[in-house]
Amino acid sequence: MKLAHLCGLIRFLPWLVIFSSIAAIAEPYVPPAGLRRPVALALADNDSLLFIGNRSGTISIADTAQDRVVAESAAASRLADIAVHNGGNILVADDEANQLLLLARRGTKFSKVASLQLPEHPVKIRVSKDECFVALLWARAIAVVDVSDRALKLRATTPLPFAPRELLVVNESLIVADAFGGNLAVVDLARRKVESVRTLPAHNIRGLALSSDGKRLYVAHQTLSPIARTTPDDIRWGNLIGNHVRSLALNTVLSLDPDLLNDSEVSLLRVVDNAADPAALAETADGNVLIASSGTGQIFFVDEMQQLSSPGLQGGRRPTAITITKDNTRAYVADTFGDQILVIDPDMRRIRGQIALGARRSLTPIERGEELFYDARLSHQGWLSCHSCHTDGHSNGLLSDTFGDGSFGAPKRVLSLLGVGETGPWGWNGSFTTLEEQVQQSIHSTMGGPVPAHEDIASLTAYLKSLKPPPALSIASATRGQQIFNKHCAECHQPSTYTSGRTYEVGLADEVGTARFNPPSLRGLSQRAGFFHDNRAKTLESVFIEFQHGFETAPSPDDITELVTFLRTL
Amino acid sequence: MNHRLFLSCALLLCCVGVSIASEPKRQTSSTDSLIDRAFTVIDLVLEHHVDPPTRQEMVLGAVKALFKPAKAGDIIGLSKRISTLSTAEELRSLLRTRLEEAAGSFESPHEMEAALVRGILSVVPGEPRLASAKEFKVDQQLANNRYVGIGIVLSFDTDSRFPRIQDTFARGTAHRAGAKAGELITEIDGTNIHDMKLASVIDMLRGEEGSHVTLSLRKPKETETRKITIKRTVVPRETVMGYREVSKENWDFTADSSARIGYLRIKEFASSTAHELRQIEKRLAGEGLRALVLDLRMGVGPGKLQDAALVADALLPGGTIGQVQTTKGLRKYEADEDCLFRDWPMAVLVGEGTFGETEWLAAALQDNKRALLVGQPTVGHAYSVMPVPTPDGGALLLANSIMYRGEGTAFHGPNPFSRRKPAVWDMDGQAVIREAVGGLKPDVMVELRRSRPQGNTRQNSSVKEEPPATFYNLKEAASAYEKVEPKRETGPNRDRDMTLEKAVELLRSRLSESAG
Repeated sequence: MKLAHLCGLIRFLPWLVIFSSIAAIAEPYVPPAGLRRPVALALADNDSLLFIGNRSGTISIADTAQDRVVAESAAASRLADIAVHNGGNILVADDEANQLLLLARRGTKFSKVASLQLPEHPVKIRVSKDECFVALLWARAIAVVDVSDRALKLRATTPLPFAPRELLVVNESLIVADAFGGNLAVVDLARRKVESVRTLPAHNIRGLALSSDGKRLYVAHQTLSPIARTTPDDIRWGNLIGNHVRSLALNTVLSLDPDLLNDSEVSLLRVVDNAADPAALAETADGNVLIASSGTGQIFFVDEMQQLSSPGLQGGRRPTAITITKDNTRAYVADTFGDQILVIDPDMRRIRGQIALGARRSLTPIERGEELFYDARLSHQGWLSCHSCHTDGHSNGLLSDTFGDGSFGAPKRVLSLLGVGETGPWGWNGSFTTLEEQVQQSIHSTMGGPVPAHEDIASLTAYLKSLKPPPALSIASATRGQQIFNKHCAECHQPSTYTSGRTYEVGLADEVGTARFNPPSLRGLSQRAGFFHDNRAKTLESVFIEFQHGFETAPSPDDITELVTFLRTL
Repeated sequence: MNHRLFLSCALLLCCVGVSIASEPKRQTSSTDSLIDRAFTVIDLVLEHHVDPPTRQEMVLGAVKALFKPAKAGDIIGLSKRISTLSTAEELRSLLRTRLEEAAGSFESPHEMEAALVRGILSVVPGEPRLASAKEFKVDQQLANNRYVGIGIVLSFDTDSRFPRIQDTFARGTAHRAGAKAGELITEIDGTNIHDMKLASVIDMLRGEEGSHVTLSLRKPKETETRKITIKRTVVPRETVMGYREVSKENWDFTADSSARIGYLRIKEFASSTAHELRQIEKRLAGEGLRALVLDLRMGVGPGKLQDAALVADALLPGGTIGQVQTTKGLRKYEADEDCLFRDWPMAVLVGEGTFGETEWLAAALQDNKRALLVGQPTVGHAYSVMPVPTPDGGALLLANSIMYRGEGTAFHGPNPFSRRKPAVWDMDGQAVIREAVGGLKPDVMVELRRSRPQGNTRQNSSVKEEPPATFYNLKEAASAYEKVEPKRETGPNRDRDMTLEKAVELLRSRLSESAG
């Protein structure tokens, strides 16, 4: 050691002593009991990990040297995502108040610098230089926001033809994934223009990541086959539902090539072990990909040869987000329902420990039901959860051949469960008079699991009844459209739930001859992608143009326009 | 071979100890209850068969069957008489009379019931079969690739009069527990099984998943025995085979190593088949293969339509697979965009053995221009058989649907239930393909011919010249065939698989075109 360095050290010695004394005296921070439900993580610098509690609306700071929480600050009533801005400030998305917040960090404290009201609901933030992009779920748009040290300014809102969730900035482009279905859009950031929207044979896309060489785009998602049946055998052999990590050629994604699957590789996440609902993925510096199997609480590794580690690491209850330190020594995983952060050694492929967030309070039936809703362990061999098809309580928009209508052979559209508590009877043919019956049927027959306990059914039902319909995409006034609706549609789709308790024959028999259906609720209709029991109408307009649904004679184009305008406000 | 044996054994399990109506309680059944059961079968046929005969026809079949054992009886005018009967009661009355008359001709009520049901089903198209509860359970296990056992094939050793382990399956627990092919089983769970019927032995070996069975084993010419305890588990069998088996259940899938062309043979459809293909694709891609021969020259068992559709979906990058008409409605099957062996040139081998669901799959691959069909015209058997549960827990296996091509066009022949080959050969052995009705027409024909009149009935092959068409120009390839004179193959070529050779040749050509 050089003399000058030694002198410098001696000069700071008193300060070191003082700080050491304070550290020795200060009580370590003990997080209070509560329910956080961590859903997003960010590494602020080499020494601190930030994460948010969705349910607590708090931001926590963890010391990565000791792997423990050192501070926690309330920021909002609910939080959906967190990102670190260039200057070290923090951006968080409040998906209850629909706000983007800019917070300044001073040590372990945060102070609000600016907030920005956004359309419904900000669920994901990605930062690039002096701007950030926010996925607005129900508004079906991307907000482009200027970010400075002191302010947030909405620069543009780019509409999308689907509800977005996952975002990834690649050079001058933003890749946007569908929150429910398989759409993948590329937005040109310079021109604020949607360059392409293509559809993968996929749904429940959770996790976009670039390969370490920057040539591949990894997409974690599921697939659902309308040909397979919800039998234990089709579940067991991976015919019904697939849990995938798809590797796409980035050049193809960024190009306008209509064939998104050109040079695509699909690897089944599940080989010999339980996996369901892949929820996050990240690549280590040495090319291994970590995948969170949120439905079964496992972490899998896929190496460069696409060999899957099996069994996966079992350490959490619902891992939903992953971040890896730059030095590749640690991967942090948000275990949402375990209310903890898992610390993983990517080299050794083992769990190093957990960062405890505080004692969990006892759960309400709704909270317990929510955990069951996302739990694939209810299903046959852990292949799927309720969320696998009813993504986040909504719908993946696909067809599934269940025994819910009393027969196989006629796949039906997966119904949204948002608002389902008020729309009985249940099932496409209205055969379930209580939601509890429907829940039992879904778990035991559709998912192939054992008959659920009474308490589980009660909790799941309580959770389903707590789900509100999605907001309408449009708030336009549509008086004439409403009049047309009242005349032609309201008998079966009765306000305010826009359904009724009976079944009706409307000339749309399915493949096994069933012609009477219970009318599905029209609330949140604008947030759906297909119509009728088998998605035979691809647009709302075609419901009336092609099928004259509700009309004895063909409605006029004007009437259709007015009616559709009204329906989009429901 | 192992798998064939396994299936044989499984089928043996299905058949042994089972007759058409073998429940003991039935042996004391009255005539009325016998009639009830006959009409249960008749009603099931009427309800579920896609093209059922009339009730009168089935009763006529039953009545005729009752006469056979006695080799007597006047059946002249019976058809006319039955045609005049219109109500179920009238038919029941007739059947009751005949049953009472025929009672003395049968050794037991059980035998009479068997004849009765056999007679009913003899007039039902599609070779229906009544499976007992026991058979049905095994059928289901096989169909779902969930066969529960210890994974051995048995034969009877006539010298020692003990059952001999003919073979063990690599994925079976007996193999893992150390049981060896050739060993004799002398005791099962402590019971000496000397001279015991094989069917009874199999019954003792079978049991619920997770249960255990203890075997005493010895080598044929030794006296020392050893005991092993084996857990009964699901013994998954492979439904997709490769080019050659290099070791037990380990296949070499390479048909042409220099051109890197793979070969798969779908032996049967099960719910595991698409899964197997997904696994094999990974392996073949890892081995650097880039083109594929898919051999579909075999039929499949009942209840496989669903599994065939899943395989078609796995192999197609979108498009319509086909349509299926049942008694309840019409369903169109669509493939999603994901596709195994994506962008690999593919040739599908078809022939007389390609019928039913395999024919439907081949048609889907042809219609979507996913593959070139190489081989011989197919039979045109477009009816799919499904099990219909019976009240006693068994099943009636019936043709309950008709398969169509994607555009809704039929491919079944004039008599789709017949396995008879289409009339594609004239007396000189020349092809008359244009006169064939039904079935699939290969894009590239490879002729199989019977050697007449030298008395050699073995098939040999001849291959036509490569058609002057590009690989994907299928229509041209097919039409070009009819102008080409076939060549006879004799002598050593007799056992060559000329259809496969032609497919490989076409794929090599295709790969060369791509490389160029």
